[in-house]
Amino acid sequence: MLIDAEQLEDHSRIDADVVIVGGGVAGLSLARQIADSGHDVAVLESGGEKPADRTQALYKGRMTLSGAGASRDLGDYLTSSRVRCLGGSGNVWGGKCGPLDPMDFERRAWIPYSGWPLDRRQMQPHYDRACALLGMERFDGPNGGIGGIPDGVFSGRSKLFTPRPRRYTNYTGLSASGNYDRFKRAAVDHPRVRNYLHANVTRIALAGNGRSVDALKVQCFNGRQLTARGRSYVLATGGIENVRLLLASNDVHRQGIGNHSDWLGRAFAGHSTISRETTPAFLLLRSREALTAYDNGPRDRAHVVLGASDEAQRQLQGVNFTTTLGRPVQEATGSTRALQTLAARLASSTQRTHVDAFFMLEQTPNRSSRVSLVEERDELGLPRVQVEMRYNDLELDWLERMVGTLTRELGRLGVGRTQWSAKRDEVVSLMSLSRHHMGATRMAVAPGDGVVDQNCRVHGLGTLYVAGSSVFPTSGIVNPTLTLLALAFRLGDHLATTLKAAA
Amino acid sequence: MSSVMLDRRRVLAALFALGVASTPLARAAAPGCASLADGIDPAALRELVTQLESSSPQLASAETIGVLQNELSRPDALVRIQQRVTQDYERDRIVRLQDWRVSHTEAALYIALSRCT
Repeated sequence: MLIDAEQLEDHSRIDADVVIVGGGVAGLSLARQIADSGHDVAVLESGGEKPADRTQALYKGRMTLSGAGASRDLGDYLTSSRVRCLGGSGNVWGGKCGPLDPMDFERRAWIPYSGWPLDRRQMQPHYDRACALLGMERFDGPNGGIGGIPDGVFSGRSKLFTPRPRRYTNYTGLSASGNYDRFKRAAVDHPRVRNYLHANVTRIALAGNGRSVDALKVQCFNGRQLTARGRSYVLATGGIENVRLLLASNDVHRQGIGNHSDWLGRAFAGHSTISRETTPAFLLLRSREALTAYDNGPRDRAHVVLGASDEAQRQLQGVNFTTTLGRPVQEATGSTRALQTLAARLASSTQRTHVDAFFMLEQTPNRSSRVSLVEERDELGLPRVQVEMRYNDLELDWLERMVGTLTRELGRLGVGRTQWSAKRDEVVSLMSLSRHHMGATRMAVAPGDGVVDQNCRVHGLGTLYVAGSSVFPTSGIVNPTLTLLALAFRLGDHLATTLKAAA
Repeated sequence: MSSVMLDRRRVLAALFALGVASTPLARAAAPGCASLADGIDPAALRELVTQLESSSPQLASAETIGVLQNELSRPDALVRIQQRVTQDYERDRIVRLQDWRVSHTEAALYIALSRCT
């Protein structure tokens, strides 16, 4: 059921077993699951059925990207990278999916604050459910990937680089399949789910003891003020807005809800692609057919990126690094052609494919990479955010180190050559940010190490949960949607069990 | 016999290094030249050499080029040069040219080949 909150009586009260803030991919999936288990759900969505400028403007804030002494103002990224309406940013999602690798869940001793309190084995059943929801085959092959994917570049001869598989789903708003509309309708039409549109949650009101939620305060653009109460509450408003609401709800806990350990808003991580004009480029002494699995174009089959292997990360004490190959570029001429011809002859190869590419680099948990509030407020009185996304020296040094390692492996094995040049302080200027916002309500077993526990419950608050990629304590390098959906399924199980036990 | 061959190679290498060996002589004496440079535009090679001499002059030293010319004169030139290239990559002996990353041997080879084409 869809309900326009602006049409409700002023000071109306919304009651449900579970109140979910945010009607995006995580929120709607979770709503259906909890409703299927026999509980009433209210979804409070800030926007309407379609994006609107006035609602989008609630996202405005400041954001910078920095590292190695360089800094960039990201302009309107905070409004352009997110969608505030039913379906959320899933309406503009590209649909690329992959699970975190088993190693991503582990603590890597050389990366401070790395690791999850869960492992890939525990997550696998939930990944399988997420794949089923998105109409994809499972990632249940070797090392949590897909079986039968050929290593078209190194033919298995490099221990330092390995194919990392990805798939595309057409359950996104950008697909003409209509599947994402059907996904949204399944929640909207569920008899136990009430979806309130234009319902902006502006404060989480705690009980006097500060250990439970009393109610959510909801405001509408037409001035109506509502209250929502449930037995449990879930924030599913995205990797930045989850933080904003927790920080802004500071009337009981002065540093914000869940900020008992000063982790709230910290360790914010994103993903960025790194490239410059026509580089990086690769001469691969392979046929185009051999590289078919690396082709990022077709969406109806798995494709792979060339990733630093687990062994490379351990041996060289680095972070995740991937190279995504593009399409073959026009055959080289002049001196570049001479260089390439000679390289092929020195490898006794008759095959040559010249492709462009982009690099990706994992951003590690960094306390100074953070979301905080500023004095300026939005139309509804909520403080706006400032996001300072920072790469540290380890990460930026690692880029050159891995490009060098890749160059050596390609050359040593007679497989190809690389074209790339960037100084460390140039790298942030060459980054294009994805829409992935992770880490700022990080998951940890001990309250002192994070914001939520392994069940996504805010430490110290019995009934408040966080869904979405903000709980990732380590971001990895793969697109986060499959993992946040898997976590939503896991949270749904937990809530269903908890609610049943309480009843 | 071997010492005679060695002496001849040394003389040839020195001549190449000094740039005094004529092109026909070089080609005749260096079968590797013909096979590796076949079909490569000499002007394109010279462009690579010009860039290399500017950015990495140490790779254009007489000794380096002389050694490589010596290899090119052998019947098993390709195999020996391939081994050098492999070792370069293993030992991170890599130079940047037009932002391409190539081995020191490859870079020196541009010079050596430019002198026999």
